[in-house]
Amino acid sequence: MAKKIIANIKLQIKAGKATPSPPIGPALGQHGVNIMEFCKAYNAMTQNQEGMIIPVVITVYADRSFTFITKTPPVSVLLKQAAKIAKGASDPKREKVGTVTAGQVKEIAELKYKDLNAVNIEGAINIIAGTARSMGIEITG
Amino acid sequence: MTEKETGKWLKIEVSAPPELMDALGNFLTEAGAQGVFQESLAPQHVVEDFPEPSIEGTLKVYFPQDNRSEKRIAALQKYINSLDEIFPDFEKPSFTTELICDPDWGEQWKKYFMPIRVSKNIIVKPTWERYTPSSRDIVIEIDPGMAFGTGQHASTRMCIEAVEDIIMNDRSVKEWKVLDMGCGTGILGITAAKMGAQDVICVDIDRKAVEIAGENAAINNVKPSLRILNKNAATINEPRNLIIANLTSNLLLSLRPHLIQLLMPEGYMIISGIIEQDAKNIEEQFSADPLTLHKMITEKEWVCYVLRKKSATA
Repeated sequence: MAKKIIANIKLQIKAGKATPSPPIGPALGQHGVNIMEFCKAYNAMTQNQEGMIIPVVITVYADRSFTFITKTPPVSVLLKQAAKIAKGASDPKREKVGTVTAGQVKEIAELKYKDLNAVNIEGAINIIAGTARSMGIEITG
Repeated sequence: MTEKETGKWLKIEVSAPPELMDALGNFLTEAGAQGVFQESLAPQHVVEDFPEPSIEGTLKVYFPQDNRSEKRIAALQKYINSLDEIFPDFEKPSFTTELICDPDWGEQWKKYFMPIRVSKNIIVKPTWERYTPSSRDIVIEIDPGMAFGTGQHASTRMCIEAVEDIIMNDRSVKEWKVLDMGCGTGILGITAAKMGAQDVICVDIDRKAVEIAGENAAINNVKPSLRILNKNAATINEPRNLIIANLTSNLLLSLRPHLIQLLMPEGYMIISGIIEQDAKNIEEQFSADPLTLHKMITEKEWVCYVLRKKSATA
């Protein structure tokens, strides 16, 4: 029989570096998830991607057991990699911190397609382009 | 880490259109948060699995409360204003702040930690729960605090099963010299001691874990048999005939030469914390000379290997 789900939680945290401090502690503790058990599992699963932010969606069941799946890195992280910059703009309307090509945006859209709520690849490209603008990254070509 | 846990935290909760969430999460992470999260709670009447939902709740983030808090809030407001200028058609993001004192998020899950039978004879129970054992039961009491190892995780359970199996069945060993590498709560070293091992070394690089393991050793009345050390694994140099390492695949691989060196001829090595995708490589690396594969245990996506070192004359 299917188990009753009480919550779905999406965490964006650093691969291989999960600890009980925030945000993991408050995100999982309030639902009765054994925090250290999660940290162990997440770190084991992501140990080869250390340094990256690897989002994870955790499903918590009524008996407090949980399952999780890891996702591809956030769009913002992929954009920073493509633009070879460390940080996005703090005032993206007035500040431009880097550029990416339309080809790179399409690549990211293809990689992230299944994680995005997009109807088609063009929709995904629009989402990526919007995130780029929100970070002060210009799209060329 | 410990200081922050008992200290004050600034919680910021951001509401924004889904299209802006990724960039906002990025901004907050760059501002110094260790991560962000969103959650969706299932409606109470849902009883069946539902397909993976889109999670569109508010974005929650925590910063240690310090003299940079005001600057962080001002920077977030400036960023949001800027986003609003770029996307005038979107609803403008907004946020609330809250100061959180002495949070107990490490404690809340404990009410769901119940006594469990981990192997044929071994029961692990939290210190605060009652359990009436039968005559053959070996009961291990654990107060995990913020350390790993409650017997609820497959990787721990398989190690306990392996320790029980080895100590019960190999009667040729007169004195078990055990090493619990990365001991966490001390559960595995304590299990070995409860099974009769009188010389157990537990090591962890986390100072807090070592304190917790010490408390658990006292609760289980095995303190005289245990040495619990806050050390790096590489500094241990006493030969052992039972090594237990419930770590991660990468750590196991990097420690492999040292563990082999510490293991006495005909001694056993239990390695765990290995997920399926790494199992093949770990098995190749660890079942090579001078080790041989003694047993493989699997549970869900986790794998545990028991290896044995060849005798000195072989």
